[in-house]
Amino acid sequence: MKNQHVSANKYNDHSIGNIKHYPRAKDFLLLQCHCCGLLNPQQNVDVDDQHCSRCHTALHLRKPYSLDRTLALVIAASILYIPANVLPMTMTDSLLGRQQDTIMSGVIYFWKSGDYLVSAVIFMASIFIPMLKLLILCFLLIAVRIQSFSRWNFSPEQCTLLYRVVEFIGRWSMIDVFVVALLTALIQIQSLATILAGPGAVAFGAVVVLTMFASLSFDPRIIWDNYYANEARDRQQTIEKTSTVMHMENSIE
Amino acid sequence: MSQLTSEQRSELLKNKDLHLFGEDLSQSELVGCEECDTIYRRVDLAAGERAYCECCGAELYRQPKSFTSLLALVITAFIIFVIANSFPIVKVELQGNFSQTTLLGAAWTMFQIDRAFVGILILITTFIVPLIDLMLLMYVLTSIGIFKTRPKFLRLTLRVLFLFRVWGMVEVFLIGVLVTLVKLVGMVIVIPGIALWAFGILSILLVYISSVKIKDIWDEIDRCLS
Repeated sequence: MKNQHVSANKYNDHSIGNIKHYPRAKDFLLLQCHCCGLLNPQQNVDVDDQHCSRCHTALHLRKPYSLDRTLALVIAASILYIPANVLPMTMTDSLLGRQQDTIMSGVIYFWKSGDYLVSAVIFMASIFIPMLKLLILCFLLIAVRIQSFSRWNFSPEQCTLLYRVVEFIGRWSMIDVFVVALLTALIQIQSLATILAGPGAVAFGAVVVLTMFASLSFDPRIIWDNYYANEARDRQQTIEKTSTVMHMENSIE
Repeated sequence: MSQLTSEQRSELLKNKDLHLFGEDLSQSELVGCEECDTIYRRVDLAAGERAYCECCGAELYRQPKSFTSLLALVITAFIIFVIANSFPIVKVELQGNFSQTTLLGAAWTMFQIDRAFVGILILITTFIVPLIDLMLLMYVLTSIGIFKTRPKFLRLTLRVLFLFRVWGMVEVFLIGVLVTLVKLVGMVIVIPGIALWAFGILSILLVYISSVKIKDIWDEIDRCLS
């Protein structure tokens, strides 16, 4: 019986295998200010209306309603993604008549006329990046939900890497909005050719802004919270299992 | 360690001093990772060095350049910003008809053709945010780097700077201009203006300036004024 106790303690002290365990601010009741980075000691049990001692920003343990807000913004952006791709981005009036271009038809036009670089840049910035952002954000939301109630673990390093990708590429999809605005401002040559920005440009701009807000409201620390919680639960279960095995061995003897 | 019992929690709450890593540490000696919540003891870095999180690989902090050299860069960027916005970016010619636009002109056209949302988006991301960003940085860096005093609205200024950081997109606008030029080359004669080069330099400067994070500025302020 005594032996059993010692081995269980050992299990607690040393982490098993390659599981990393670093001291975390949450465990020491420290709140990190998201503006100036200062670690403030938590003063009450509920964190509400505590402000950073250095910059007076309201402190939160995690970004408030992080997952719900991200989900709402992702849904809104996905809905707007449809008109952004279906409605025309530019409307060209020339001597040959009126021509309406969506994002995709623009990409195809430049690919056919041999401008592979422009075509690739527009495709990356306007179709690939917004799509990738929405998919990654959806994946992260699903991964966090699954992690929090089952033992299916996604590697937290890779999830944070994905999050960093989303944060980095977010702004670059604005390229097409700028291109449309410049084209409209430049090609206003009366009677020869005029280009007008279409309703697609508005929807597309909204998609970019919404996805940027979505990635801002997502808190990557939740991934690690769940990871550590799962790990602790696993360890608890292994200890229980080993102790029952030992118990059985003892009774056989 | 990851799961605290409620007793341990209340005990930690009662104990106001920080007792970590076997020693009593002050707040300024600690640094936390924004992405995974791991805490570390701060070590001094040489200029240009960066500290990364061991757990997730995110950047923790870095030693920024001195405030005076940063201020010089900000003032340069401000002058170039003025040039970039007062001259036409590009001029086009089609059968003897000329047309040209500035950044503000492009935003204004958007308002005129009833696409105000796009106009506002352009105005905010490439004009208002970079302008206010540069002016507020000038205000903070002058009073701390040169006069060694704590500016009156320091907290407010740095919080506004923090909120604005993400939305400055001058470098994205530059790529947008280049794509527009390549698009137009087949249709009309394109003459790049002074502002195009100014935007090129401005985006390099702004990328450098915005690589200095607000929390690094806070740490440096604490060091300068203490």
